[in-house]
Formats: sequence, C-alpha cells, structure tokens
Amino acid sequence: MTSKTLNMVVLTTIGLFGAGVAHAATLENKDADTQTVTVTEDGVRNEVAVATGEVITFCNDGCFITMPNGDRAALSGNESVQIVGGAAIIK
Amino acid sequence: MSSQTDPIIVMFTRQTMKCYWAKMQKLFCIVLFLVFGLLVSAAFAQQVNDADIAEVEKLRSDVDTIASQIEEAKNSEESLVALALRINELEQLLIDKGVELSPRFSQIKTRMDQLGPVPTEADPPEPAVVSEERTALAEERAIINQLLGILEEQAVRAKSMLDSMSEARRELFANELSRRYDITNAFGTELYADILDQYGDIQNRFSSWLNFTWRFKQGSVLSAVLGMLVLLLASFWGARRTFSDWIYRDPAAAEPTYFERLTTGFWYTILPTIVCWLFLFFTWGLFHSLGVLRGDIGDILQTLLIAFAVIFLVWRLAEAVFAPRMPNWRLLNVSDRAARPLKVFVIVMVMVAAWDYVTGQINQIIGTSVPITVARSLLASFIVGLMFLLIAFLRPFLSATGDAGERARRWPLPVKITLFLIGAVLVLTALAGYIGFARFMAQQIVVTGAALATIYLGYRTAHTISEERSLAGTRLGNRLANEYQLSETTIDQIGLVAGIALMACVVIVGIPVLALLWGFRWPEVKSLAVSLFTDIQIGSISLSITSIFAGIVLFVVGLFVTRRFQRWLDGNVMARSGVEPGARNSIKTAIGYVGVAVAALLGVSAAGLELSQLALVAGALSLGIGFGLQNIVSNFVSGLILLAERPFKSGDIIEAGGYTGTVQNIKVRATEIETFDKKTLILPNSELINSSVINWVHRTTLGRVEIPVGVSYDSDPKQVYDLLLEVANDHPRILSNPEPFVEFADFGDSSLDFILRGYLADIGFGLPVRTELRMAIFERFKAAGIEIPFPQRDLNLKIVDEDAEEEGPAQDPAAFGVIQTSKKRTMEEDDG
Repeated sequence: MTSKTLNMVVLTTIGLFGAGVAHAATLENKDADTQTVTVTEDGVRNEVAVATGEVITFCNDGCFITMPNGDRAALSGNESVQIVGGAAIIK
Repeated sequence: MSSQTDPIIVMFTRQTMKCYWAKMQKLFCIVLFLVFGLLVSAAFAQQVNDADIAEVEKLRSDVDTIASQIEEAKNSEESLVALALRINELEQLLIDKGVELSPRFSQIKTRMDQLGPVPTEADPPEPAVVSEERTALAEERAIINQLLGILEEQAVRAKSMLDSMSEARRELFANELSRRYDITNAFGTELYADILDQYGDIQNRFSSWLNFTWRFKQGSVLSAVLGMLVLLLASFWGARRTFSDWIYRDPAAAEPTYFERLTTGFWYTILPTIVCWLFLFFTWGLFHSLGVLRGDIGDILQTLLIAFAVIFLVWRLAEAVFAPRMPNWRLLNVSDRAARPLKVFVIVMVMVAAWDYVTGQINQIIGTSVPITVARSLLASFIVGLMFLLIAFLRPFLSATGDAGERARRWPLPVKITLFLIGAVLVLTALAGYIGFARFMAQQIVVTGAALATIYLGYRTAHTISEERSLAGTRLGNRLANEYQLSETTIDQIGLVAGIALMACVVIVGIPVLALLWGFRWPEVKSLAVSLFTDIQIGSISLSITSIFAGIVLFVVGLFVTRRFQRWLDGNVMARSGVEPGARNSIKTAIGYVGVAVAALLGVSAAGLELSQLALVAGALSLGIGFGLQNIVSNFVSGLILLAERPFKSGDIIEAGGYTGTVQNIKVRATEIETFDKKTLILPNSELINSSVINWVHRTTLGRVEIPVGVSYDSDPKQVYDLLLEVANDHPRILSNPEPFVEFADFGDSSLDFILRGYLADIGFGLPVRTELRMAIFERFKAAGIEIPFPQRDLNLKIVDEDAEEEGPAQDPAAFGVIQTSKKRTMEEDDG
C-alpha cells in the first residue's frame, strides 16, 4: 500500500500546489543604469524604477508596460522580461 | 471616433503597400541570403494587419458603448452588476489582444538588428531594398505602439468605469437601506388587489398551459407523469433497500460513540438528499426533454424544485443534528426540550429564505408590484426576527450534571442578549418601515448563520475524527485495517491526519465564503489570500506559505527519491554485482546522507531562503558548534571516517568499550552493536575511532580456538597428546591447514596441563566448536581411562603409639603435625 499511496499523495500535492500558485511576470534590468518602466496593471498606471541587475515580480493578471525607449508591450502574466539597452526582450 | 482611427488606417495601407513591394524585391535577396531570408519570411508571417486594427477599434467602441450605458444603469443594481461583468470581460480581452500583438515587436527588433544601424554620411549608401525595409519596420513598430497605447488607455478607462460603478452600487445600497416605506399603505387595499391580480395571473398561466398541453401533448404529459412516478418509486425503494442500513438510527442503541453518531448523521443527511436531488433533477429533465414545459412555467417549476431541494437538505440536516426524539443520536448537546424548537427554528428559517426566493423569482416572471415586494420583505424579516426572539428564551443546554431529565440551562447571557437584540431590531425596523434594511439584515443573518452552522459542523467532524481511537473500530477503520494490514495505531494516526486536513479545509473554504457573504469581492479575497500565501517578510527574508510548502514537498520528494535510489542500488546493482554486505551498507548509508543533504538544500532554497544567508547563520553558529556541539560533530565526523575507512562493517564481530558483539548499523552519531546476549550497545562513533577496537573478522574470518585441559600425573602424556590431536582432526570445522596442534603447557599443581589449538575458517563458530571439542575430549578420555583430576593436596598422616599420653599435644617436636585420633582407624580399614 505504502509506496503506491505515497506516490499518489505526492503527485496530488504537487498538482494542488502547481494549481495554487499565482503566476506573475518578472522584469530584470540588464542595463548599467536604473531604468524606469511604466506598468499599467488593473487599470492603474505606475512608474517602476528598476535598479541594475534587480529582478522585480509584477503583473499577476496581465498588464501593459512601456519600456524606457517608448516601446509598449502587453503581458499575460507569466513572461520574463529583460531590459537590454532600454528595450524589452520578452520570453 | 472615426476621426481617431483614420490616420492609423491611412498609415497602415501605405505601410502594407510598401511591405508588399519590399517583399517582391526580397525574392532575390532570399536567394542571396538564405539564412536571413528564412528569418524574414518567419517574421513577416505574423505581420500586423487590418484585422488587428479593426479588432482594437472594436474593443474601443465596446468600451465606449458601455460608458454610454452606465448613466442609465445607475438606478438598478442588476444592470450595474451585469455591466461590471461585461467590463471585466472586456478588460481581459484588451490584455489578450495586447499580448497577441506584443511578440511582433521582438521580431521587428531582431530584423532591425540584422539590418544594422542607419548608415551615416561617411558610409557607402545601402541598397534601396534595405532602407525601404527599415522604414517599413519602423512604421509597423509605430503602429503596434499606437495600438498598444489605445488598448492601455481603454484598460485605464475600463478601470475608472468600474470604480464609478461600484461607487454607484454603494450609493444604491445605502439608499435602499435607509429608505422608509409606508407600511400602512402597503398593507392596504392596493396590496389585496395586487395579490388577487398576481394570483389570477398565475392561475391563468397555469390553466392555459394545462389546457394547451392536455389537448396537444397528452401523450407526453402522461408519459412524463408516469415516468415521474416510476422514478419516485424506484428512488424510494432503491434507496430503502440500499441505504437503510447506513442511515438507520437504532432508538434502542445504548450509547453510540460520537463518531458513530456523526457518521450516521452524515449518511442520514446526505444519502436521502442525493436521492431526492437526483429524483428532482431527472424529473425536471424528463419534463424538459418531453417538451411539456412552457418557458415561464418551466422557470416557475425550476424555482420550486430548487427551493424544495434546499428545504429537504436542511430538514434532513436539522433532524440529524437535533434528533428531537432520539437523544442518543443527537449531534449537539442540547436538552430534550430545546431540540425540537431548535429544529423548527432552522427549518422555518430555511423555509422563509426559500419562500422569499420563490416569490422573488415568480415576481420577476410575472411582473413585480411594489406593495407585494414590501409585504413580502416585511413578512420575511418579521418572521425571522420573531424566531430569534423565541429562540433567545430557550433553555438549550443540558444541566451541569448532564442529565437530560433535569431542568436545562439557559443561553449564556451575552448570547441571549445578542439573539434578543437581533430579533428585536429585525421586528422593529420592519415594523417601522425600513424594509430594505430589515430584509438585508435578515438575509445576511440567515445566510451567514447557515454558513457558520456548516463550518461548525465541519469543525466538530474534524475534531471527532482526529480524537484518539475514534477511527479504529468503526466500519471504515476496520476495512482499512483489513485491507492494508494496518495496526490500530496507524489507523489512529490516519484519523488524526484526516481530522487535521478536514480542519484545514474548513478554514480554507469557510473563511473566504464568510468574507464573500459579508460583501468582500472575490478579487479582494483572492489578492489577500495570494499575498498571504506568497509574501511574508521576516527581516530581509521574504517567505511565503507556498514556497515553504514547496520546500517541504521538495524535501520529502528528495528523501523519497533517495530511498528509492538506495533501494534500487542496493537490491539491483550491488547485490547482483557481488559487493559484500558490509560495503553495501556503507555505500547505502553514505548515499542516504548525501541524499538528505541535497534534499535539505533544495528544500531550503525552494522555501525562499538564500544559501548565502544561510552561510551567514552557519558562520555565526560555528562558534557555538565549536563548543556546544563538539561531541556530536566529532561523533558525526567519526561516523564518516568509519564509513570511509571501514575498520569494521555491519555484521562484523568486534570488541570495543569492554563489550563484544556484532555490528548492526553504523549511524550518524553512534554505532549499534548487538552483544551476544542480544543487548544493543550504542557506542558513540568517536569512541570507536579514538580507542582500540578488536575486530574478530577484519580481513579474514579465520580464528583460533583454544581448549586447555589437565590430566592426572598418572596418565601417559604421549597418549593424551595423540588423543587430543585426534579429537581436533576429527572435528569437521577444525581446519587441517593451518593444522591443529597440542601444546604440553605445564606441570601443573594437580595435573599435566595441555592446550589444544585449532583453526576455524569462521571464528563465528568458535562457541559451538569449543563445546563440541570439550565433549569429545571428555568422552575419549573417559574411554581411555585418562583421569581429569581435581586440584589435589596430599595429606600425610602420622599415627603415634597407642600407649603414649592421650591428652594434650605431642611433646616431641618430631611429632609435630600429627593428628591424634581417639579411635584407631586406618585408611586400610576404610578401604576394606
């Protein structure tokens, strides 16, 4: 009984856990300077300053961002974005 | 609005044309730059086109439409809710569209990078194809930016609209609560007329429907009714036959345990309810599929069925919980006299709620009238209030002795006052004409009360299941025990875990439900829960429940994988490749340590603790470890050395710390040694490293046995020597090489001392072999007449003359030591 049941318990737990995790996008600044990004999340516009090398987590349910170079992008909430040269690289 | 779109469209057409030409010309380039060409074609596969622009415009106009509808919706709660739902959908659509457009950016950027920077004056001019493509890309990029900008703007607008709508809803609600109706008017002739009117309406509808269906769908109606009856009988009898055992509450049962009461109560509620609901569902389905229900009649019937289903559930539940006629099976400890009123109270509450719901629905179907609405709400609030007032004066609790017969105790004063106040406020506000307020309050109280009661029942259940020995001995417990061969303790632990899990479920489900009932919105509850689960700051460390949970899960999984790997390696690989058991054990243990360490590190880092932070903690602790944990660390390190150097392994017979025994298990801190009298000796590893250890079987299991034996001085040493060798050679376990030998060790006090030495292939057999050898020696010596003497002393007796003085010690110094006996008796006589 034990190993089978244990398997099941572990799988279920992982499944539940996976389902329960809220997704969020990450934003990392790979430039040498602090960059400011405009994030519009849930209809509220915010300026977010990201220091060099800093990684911030934001955008739980989708958002719009405006990069330092003026490019815009919309995120569904599970991307990882890098600022390189003021522009966004979205993965 | 169209003025806003025009520039984009104009720009776009220009851009598409350019792209088109650029594409044509690029055919040549593709031949020249194959790799680049592939990239380009891939990139152009997802160009922004008219459809995208049209979609964005459509979304914008949708937002506009909603914006124009807000003003007129501000007077009705329902239309506001509906609009809010639409805006929520739109918000998602806006994001989705944006997400769809975004990837094109990366493609444009890649392509632009490939094209390189714009050449300066000094550079040679680039081909027209390239510069045209660059311009086209730049324009497309500008368009995407513009489209995304529009989407973002609309998202902001949608949000502000939502805010203003919830403000409007709040106002509406406040107005509704503070509005005062003139109830004397409402209960006047107008009400009477309206009721007659509506009653007539319903009657008309029903009779026309009946007439119609009877005339045109007679067969269907008959078969539907027949089917319903069959269903009713089938479900009734089927349920009776199948479940009667489960839900039967034996009135004669002396003292059912709480667990029995609970499970029986549970089945008593659930099973008939499920049967009832299935019956209602299938009845509805039957009528519906046969097409005998007209739209409005169908709606009314559906409402009635739902109300009936809810009342049925609550009725069963109330009976199960209060059991007025079966005090033995009661789930709550209430007095006999209070059980019935409490049950009635619960049922009346749900009936009022159901009635309110049904009349509300019917009013919606056949048109509403203010007097009826007022009267309906007034009556509902009044009844609820009255019930609370009555309940406040109940004596629900058993007397202090717990005897059901004695006079029961009242509510505690605060509870009584609260109940009374709720009832009084409801009745008074309703009578004063604040119908909206009274109705809202009554509704909230009933719904919250139902939720609280459910949570309480869940809590009681969890509590009962987790109590000691509650699960064991029940039907479920017995089945588990039989099926999986579990001990009573395991069953008990399962019960505990199940109870805790249930409690967690009750909390996790119950609290959000309560919050929702009390007006929190789902997003608020969700974000609160999410923040609780994802972000807890402790100093500079950010933890979250999910990450801690993830850490634990990862650790457990790591342990599990390690165990599986250990077992696989030990059982499949090492056993078959003939690794000796001791080494197997060492390797297995070492892998276990590594696995645990890796799992712990994984778990810790998954829990959100950075390893560098841990290093700091470890650094601070190391001083403490240096002093306080010195012994433990030294033992641990010794354990590692033991595993690596392997002066002994499990299964070896060793002598250490003054004990001899078989090594069972080398653990982190200590080694388990089983002595020959089956005691387990737990010896700290450092002791095994720091002091001498005798290992009987270190390299080989070869060992020597020694049998010392003494024979009398009368024996022939040569014969003894031969006999002893013979004995040794005859024994099957004594090796012939190295051969056994006999040492003539000593001329002892009473004996000639010999030592027989022989070698054994496995010293583990030393004890039985020695015994067998001694047996054989004894037998052979006896047969050969060789005496094994006792310690001997020769006594020399000197007999003096009879005539000498009998009294006193001998005077003659030569006669010293001679014992004089009173009676003449010689050794010869004795022998004779």
